[in-house]
Amino acid sequence: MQQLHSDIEDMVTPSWLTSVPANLGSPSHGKLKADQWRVLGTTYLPISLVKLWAKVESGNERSERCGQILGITMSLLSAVVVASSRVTSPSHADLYLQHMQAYLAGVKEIFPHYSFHPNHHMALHLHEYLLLFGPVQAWWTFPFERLIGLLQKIPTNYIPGKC
Amino acid sequence: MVSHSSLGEYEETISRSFTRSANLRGLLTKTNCPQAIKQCQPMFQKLLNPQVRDTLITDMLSLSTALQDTENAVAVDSSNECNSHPIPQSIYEALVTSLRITPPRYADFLSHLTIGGITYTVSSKHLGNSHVLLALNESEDLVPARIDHILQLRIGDAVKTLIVVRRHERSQVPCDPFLRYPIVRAKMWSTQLKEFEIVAIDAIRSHYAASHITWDGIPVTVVTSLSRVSILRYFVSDDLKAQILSHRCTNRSVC
Repeated sequence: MQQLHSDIEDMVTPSWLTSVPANLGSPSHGKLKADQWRVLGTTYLPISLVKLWAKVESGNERSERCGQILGITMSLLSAVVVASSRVTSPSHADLYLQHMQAYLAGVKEIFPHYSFHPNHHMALHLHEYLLLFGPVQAWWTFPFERLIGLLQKIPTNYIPGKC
Repeated sequence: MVSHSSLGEYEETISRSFTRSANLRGLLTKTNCPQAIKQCQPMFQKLLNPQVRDTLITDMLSLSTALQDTENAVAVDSSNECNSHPIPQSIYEALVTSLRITPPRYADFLSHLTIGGITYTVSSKHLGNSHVLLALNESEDLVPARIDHILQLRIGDAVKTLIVVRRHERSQVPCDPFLRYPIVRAKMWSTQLKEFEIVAIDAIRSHYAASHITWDGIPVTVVTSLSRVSILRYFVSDDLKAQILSHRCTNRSVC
């Protein structure tokens, strides 16, 4: 985690990029938003994980296992990059599905006792949604979440009225 | 926020505040807006514009720019510190090489420009906003560079906007571990920068994130593309297909 903290702090990014807390993992920053998870995964994590795990020492069990985990993590991150592209096509949808399946199969192989969640199943359906509805920006519900957040931030006196 | 299903003062406060804010934004775009208020538009915009610091806002700005005509896709707003100065010799020489004409000795030096809702600045103003991926040759990969100056030249009646960049040298690392994951679009480049080059602004593709690390004892900059568009030609290679197939799920019903 120290490596990841220093990588987050040292990375030079444009001002519009969603910020990720440098003290990641600490309870003080609260829950990460979906966009923060996406930026963390597609921008910061690959650098730290490749630095830590890309050099696999043959015969070293821990190093080999870390190499496997790196492989499936990068499959997941690749799926996220393809799925959140502003341009999509049947090829994008197929590539997304291949990487998502590779990730899920990898998790099953490396962590055989892990119980999958409904979200893992739903992630496989994104393939057909990309084919049916196009880029995710056109139909994801984050604009509505944003509006809810905006309404919640309006200062009020918290006095409910009556009908 | 604790709430209830009946309408009252609480909801009225929220909706009034929301509508006032929307009306204030709308006032500036109306044709009958008083001239005095229109003069204050840059100040209003600075006050009202949300901080462009997340995906949704950049998506919205990109979409709204796409709906405008292409002439407005590149914006140099009135808050830009636009000053006419003599062109330094090193940049002048680069201009002569690039333009193949004798350029004027003076140019307007801009601090930033906006393309597709995204602001690009010179490195002295914001280093992260000056990191750009350039498409210098359509057949080649994108090249990372740092914008050092943004120039506006008056050549005849035309005004030409150009960026003065320094490209990253290619990395000396024999085996770049990021090339195994082409979709993530990270790549190692040398920390060394080339000399000044003059590039047209339409070569700019996106910003990139830069991490300085040491790999095999060689200092490198890991460049990660921040483009929100995945272009398949960059990563559907035979190597990748083999890699995907090697990881591919043999049992499709994994969950």
